[in-house]
Amino acid sequence: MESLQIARSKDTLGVNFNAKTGVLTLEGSSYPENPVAFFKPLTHWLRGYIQETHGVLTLNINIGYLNTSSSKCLIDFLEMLDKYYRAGGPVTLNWHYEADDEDMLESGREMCEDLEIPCTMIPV
Amino acid sequence: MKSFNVFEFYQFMQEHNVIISFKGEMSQAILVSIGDLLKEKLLCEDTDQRVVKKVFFIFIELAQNIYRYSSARSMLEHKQAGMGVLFIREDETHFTVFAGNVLTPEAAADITEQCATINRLGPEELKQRYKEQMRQPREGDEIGGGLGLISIVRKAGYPLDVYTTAISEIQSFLVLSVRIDKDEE
Repeated sequence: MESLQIARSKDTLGVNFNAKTGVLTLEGSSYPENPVAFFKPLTHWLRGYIQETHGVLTLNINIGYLNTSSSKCLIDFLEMLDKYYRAGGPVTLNWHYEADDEDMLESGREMCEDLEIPCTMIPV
Repeated sequence: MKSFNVFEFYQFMQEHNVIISFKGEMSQAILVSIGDLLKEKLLCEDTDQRVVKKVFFIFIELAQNIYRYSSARSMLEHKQAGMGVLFIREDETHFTVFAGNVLTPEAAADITEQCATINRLGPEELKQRYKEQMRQPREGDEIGGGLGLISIVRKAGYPLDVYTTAISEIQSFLVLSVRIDKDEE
């Protein structure tokens, strides 16, 4: 299982999924033309990791801006993670947000409220 | 050919407090650049960070609507791009983002109807509708059900204004606009 790294750009997230440690990081902003195409390798990697290793997963989110279509992609990704958690997978979710960004805090809470994984909101 | 009176155009923009205007093919690259310009401009003016983010969010949603749905299309950067106009006006108490593009009358009527439905909903109903739509499967790569429009209204806290001008039997010009307050407290 290889790690997945995608450099951050203005309109796409920086991705660092470490296959050895199971620590996944998503950071930056996301408003590309086709978020579905961007998220496809991420979902693919996650599915592969869960099937191959059944290992520990820690997802660190540090996102400043998401357009609506990207939010949907992220929710689909989180639901896949939640399914693993509900099946007994060891999953931790940390959601970092800028300390004065109430809207992002609200969005993060809203995205996590229907998940069973406990989500820790962390101001930075 | 009518003379092109730049001064009149300038005066018109000045009177209506237009701070950013764009007309042409909207592509992802152009949208990213205008978005940068917008953020820089508002931050220079000491606009509240939270308000800047709201204006930026709404700008992106409306600009992406233009390149996805405008029926006036051309090739740009080897991709299809939709033609349209975007204006941002700044008044003392609020910003207003306007987006206009050509559509079929059927598509324009559909969006007008979606806006009317969304505008009738209160904050809690909007949240419920948003969450329901978020969990619906996509239609192709597109998110359906007016999800972008719902998120605009939720972000702005104001209804979407929509009006249509008939160009011909097969073309209409649709304008969407929404207000964002500078001071919420």
